[in-house]
Amino acid sequence: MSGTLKRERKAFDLLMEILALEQDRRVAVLSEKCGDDRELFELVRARLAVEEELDFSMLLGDQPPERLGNYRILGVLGEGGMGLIYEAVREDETALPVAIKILRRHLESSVHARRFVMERRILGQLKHPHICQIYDSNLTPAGQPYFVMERIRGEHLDVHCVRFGLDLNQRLDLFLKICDAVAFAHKKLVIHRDLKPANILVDQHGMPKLLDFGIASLIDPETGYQQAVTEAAGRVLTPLYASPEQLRSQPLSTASDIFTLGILLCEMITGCRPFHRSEGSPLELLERMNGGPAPLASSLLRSTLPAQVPPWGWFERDRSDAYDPGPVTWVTKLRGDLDCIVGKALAFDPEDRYQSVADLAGDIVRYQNDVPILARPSSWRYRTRCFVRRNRLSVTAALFTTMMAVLFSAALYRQWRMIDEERRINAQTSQFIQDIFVGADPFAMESTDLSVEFLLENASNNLEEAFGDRPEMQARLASVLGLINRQMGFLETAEPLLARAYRLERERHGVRHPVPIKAGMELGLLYLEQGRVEEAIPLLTAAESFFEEAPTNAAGRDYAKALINRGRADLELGRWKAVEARIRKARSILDTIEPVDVEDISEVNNLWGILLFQTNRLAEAEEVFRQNVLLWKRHRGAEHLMTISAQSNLANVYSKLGAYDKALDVTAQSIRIARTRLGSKHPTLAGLLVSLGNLHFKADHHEASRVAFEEALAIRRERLGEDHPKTTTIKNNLAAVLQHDGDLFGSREYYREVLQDWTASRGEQHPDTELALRNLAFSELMIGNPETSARLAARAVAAGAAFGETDPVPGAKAYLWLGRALLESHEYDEAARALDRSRSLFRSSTNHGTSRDRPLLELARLRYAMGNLTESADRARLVLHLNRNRTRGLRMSRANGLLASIALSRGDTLEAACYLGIDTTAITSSALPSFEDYYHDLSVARYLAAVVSVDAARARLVDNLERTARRYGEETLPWFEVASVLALYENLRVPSDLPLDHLADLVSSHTELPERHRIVSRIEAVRLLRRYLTQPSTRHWLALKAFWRGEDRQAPQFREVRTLFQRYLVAERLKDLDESAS
Amino acid sequence: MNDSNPERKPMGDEGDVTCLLRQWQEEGRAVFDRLWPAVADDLKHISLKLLSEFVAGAGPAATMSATDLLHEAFPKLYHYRIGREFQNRAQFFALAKSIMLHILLNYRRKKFRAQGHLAADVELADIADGEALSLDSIMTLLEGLRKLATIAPRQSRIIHMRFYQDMSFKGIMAEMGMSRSSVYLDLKGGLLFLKHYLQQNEHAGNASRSLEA
Repeated sequence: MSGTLKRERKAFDLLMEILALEQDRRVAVLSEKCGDDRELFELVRARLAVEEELDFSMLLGDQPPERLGNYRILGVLGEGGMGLIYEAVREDETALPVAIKILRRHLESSVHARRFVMERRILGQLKHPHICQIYDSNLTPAGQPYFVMERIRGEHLDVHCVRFGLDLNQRLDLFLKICDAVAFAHKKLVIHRDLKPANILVDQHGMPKLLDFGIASLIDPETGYQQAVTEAAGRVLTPLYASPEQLRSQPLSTASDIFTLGILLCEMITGCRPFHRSEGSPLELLERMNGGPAPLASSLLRSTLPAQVPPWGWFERDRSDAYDPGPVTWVTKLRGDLDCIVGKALAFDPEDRYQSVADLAGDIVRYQNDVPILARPSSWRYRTRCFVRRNRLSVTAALFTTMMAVLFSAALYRQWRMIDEERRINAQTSQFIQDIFVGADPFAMESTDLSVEFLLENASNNLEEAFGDRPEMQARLASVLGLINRQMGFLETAEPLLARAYRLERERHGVRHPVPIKAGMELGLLYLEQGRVEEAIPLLTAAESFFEEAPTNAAGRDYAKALINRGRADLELGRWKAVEARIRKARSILDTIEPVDVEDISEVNNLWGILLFQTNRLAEAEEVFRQNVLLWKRHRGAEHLMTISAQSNLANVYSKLGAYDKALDVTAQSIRIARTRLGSKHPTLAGLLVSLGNLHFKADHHEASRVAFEEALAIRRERLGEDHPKTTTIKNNLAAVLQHDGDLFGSREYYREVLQDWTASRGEQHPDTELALRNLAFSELMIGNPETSARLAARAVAAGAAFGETDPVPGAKAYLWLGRALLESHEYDEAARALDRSRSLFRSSTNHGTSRDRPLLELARLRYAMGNLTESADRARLVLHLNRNRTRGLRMSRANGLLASIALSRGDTLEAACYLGIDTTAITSSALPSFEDYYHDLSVARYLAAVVSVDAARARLVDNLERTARRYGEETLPWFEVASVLALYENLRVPSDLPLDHLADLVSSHTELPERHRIVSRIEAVRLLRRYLTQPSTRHWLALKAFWRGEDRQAPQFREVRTLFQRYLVAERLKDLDESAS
Repeated sequence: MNDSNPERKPMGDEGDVTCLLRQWQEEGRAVFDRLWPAVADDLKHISLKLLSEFVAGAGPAATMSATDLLHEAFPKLYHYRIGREFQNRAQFFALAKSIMLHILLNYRRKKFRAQGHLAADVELADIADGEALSLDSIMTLLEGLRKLATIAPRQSRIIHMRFYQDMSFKGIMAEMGMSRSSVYLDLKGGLLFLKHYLQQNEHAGNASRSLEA
């Protein structure tokens, strides 16, 4: 070991030794240890001194001290937002184990500290065997408040119930003890407000202890309600256990705790919380609470029995346990009295609940002793009716399996020939299916997840084994199971089954026979759902032509079906005319068939509606879909899958028509139904979530929109795969959301994927591909890549030419982007041509909702860039004229901004003020217009520079830059635009966070802006000027001069640069410059 | 005890980054100029934001975790801009964590001057003033870490666990078989050493660099 290292180690060891000492002894000990070695002394002292500059509570968290008062700290028990809880022991002969709660250091002076003191005060008043006791309280040497509490060794209430396998009576006894504690607190005028299993510890002797009075409050004895509600909402309440009053932030009384006790009781005896069977916001929760009487405890318990393991785990215990009465008997025990008790505690209106905790406890004791309870209300008859209704539902559920078997055999019976052989097959098929569901023994399964998906997969796997020697049975079952799987959305499981059925039926009947043809059609429909249009078409076409050639009355319905299915493939390919022709034919066939079949009619209507929707005939589409909803509601009920799907189509139309509230309403309702009926992974749910995301997006709820899309994307990725068209659609939507959220780079990545997916699956000349091209063109332009953007926009123009005849708007938009990209590339002539073309296409559109003023505004900007101020102003004023009926809007802002810039470049500040909406009589910060748009705000800054001061302009620009970064992201075209103008006004002051060279590098390395571009020029101008002023050499003067003489330098957008030069160069020199320039 | 022999455990993460940074320096200014601002400034910006949110929000976490930083920074940086320059995620993470440690070492929370949440703004302003984070600063920090490893292997290992592997106190206590207060003391000693090392060596480096700019 080298001498230096040895010495370093010695120094470090010494440092560690000294660190362990108390602050005031350190220097003395250090000095003693070092003796004459001053160097060592200085080194260690310097290192110790660094401690002052480090924030250890930030680096390492609050650390438990060795001891506090008379207590020795053993470790950390828990950490909450407000405080830490240490485990400690008293340092005297009692060695009393305690818990110490200490307020977090950085909260010392906050409102939390007041709450902390409050908790200490409240706990001090509550001496009760089932409430955690407080022993002592004090301040740490550093001034942090803490208090010493009873140390309870136990488990949370819910864990305890399961672990000790308490039976119903034991659970009720435990609950009574909790009631006792709460009643005691109420007597002391304290409401707990945060009762939940996690705040109730039960020790090994079954004694519960109430903890955490952190948000408890005192009741005013006069009013019975909590004292002034002044504390900050620093701590969020637990919505799962909140009362309606709490959710509505109303003043609370003891009735709130009684409600929460009701939830607790319900959870203890059923394993479910009454209002929380699915996720929901506090508002939805409130709605559910207010929607009628609370669900009956017994039906809650019953409903959890077959489906899943409830949270409090009835099934976790050994089934052979003789003491377990078994949950089924519990249902009967709960029914009646306990249902009533829970119901009364959970009444929405505080007045209707038990008047005190003692009343609640009294009824439970009465129940335990078979004495009539007090809670049986006069409205019991109503409750019974409810109960019977619920019961009927569950009976229906119980019959599900049998009905399913019957249904399928009936369907098969209708569809296929009625011969004995077939009948036998049908009987066996239904038996097999019945076995799948009825024979499933939840206890025989290793997995507790007894889902339909699991059963179906299991059945599909057993098929070969069970019927290996009987192809006819195999074919039939594969077909039935395949259809079920397809219907349930398990497309991957469905595919091999349907393919097998198709193959087997062909082997059995030959190619030209209705059975294999239909099997092929079903397979084709599956392919369509999977997005494999090319593979679907031959199968669907075969069915169509087969049934066309045999148009007997019986086959007529089949022919209509085949036409509709073939039409679906056309729809995917965007062949509108072909879809329409097929729909007409199918209708004419169906019109001749009696009796009318709801499904047939609805299917043809649905396809028709989608076609109308896709081709923008919205009013007609709305009518068609509305009728479809009515049709399904009438024939299948409001909660049927098909009703939901019809409703979601209607919602899409509403949304496209701009009626977002209506659409959000319908969609949210459908999603609720879909979640409960179909589970959280169903494709239908994904579809609904997409609609919801779209609607939220249109209503500007970006976060909600992103969340919905992400959930949908996850489902689709899992169910359909990464590059399925429907997955791609969501990527596209997510890109749009990110784009509006200011993440242009993230958005671009999604758009790129989308373009790649569409080009691969749909080809270049498809509306979706065209849209993807336009979207990506937009992203690239906004990021500062006008050349790439122009290339993409040109591709979009070419792609759109193929289908532009029906709707000119896409073409108009493609030309618009092309024009904008060319404008930024300084290709002025071509830009003008593209924008003119865009304008005329917009004009030819019959849809009045489209924004025809868009190319006009760009034309105005183009003329401005070309130096033609009069024409520019004319066009900008025309934009304002077209928007005359609106009060505000992006294009109005921009047109006003442009007109103001033009006015300023003419020196007319008064006119500029008019366009910007500035009150010229008193220009104070409050008189200035609020921020509208970065472009508009640039003009505001320019105005300030001209009229008020450069400093004012600079401040406005700094603000603008921040907002632009939020709206579009940093290093995007708008951001560079603002940053470069800011650089002009910062001129020779070096901005700390945005070095000029860095900015220039960013522009040159991250964008495709041409050298002559205004942004590049601005930055270059400042650089040259700065260089010249700091080192006034001839070389730098010449560079400056050369720059000044460059093309376009007299154009209006360089006026600011000229002003800058004027400010810093002496007049003669400038004159010389101007002369030489001209 | 095996635990007391930390050299056996490879200190891979930050070593890897040192190589990378060296390589950047050797390849000339171009790579550095392009990548450094993206990595350092963005991470600095994000960590300051996180710090201020942490202070203001008084969230449940007691310390800043580099993982929080990475969750926020990673997609933005790695996917869209500089991903290709790193051989793997781990390399990027290690660099990011070094930057985070540097920021934490130079971050000092002022006493609350205002009540409640407003205080955060005041503090953010205090720290945002700092000069741009230089490549040399990170190199210095990495050198300090290496030096610490030779002088005080145990403390170095604990620092590594806490700031590079994001281990909790409990995890470190279990891994090292040490009490909470010993772990705390070791971390404190190690951090004091590092901070002192930075103070001693960073200023010299900055002085020579400022001439180049």
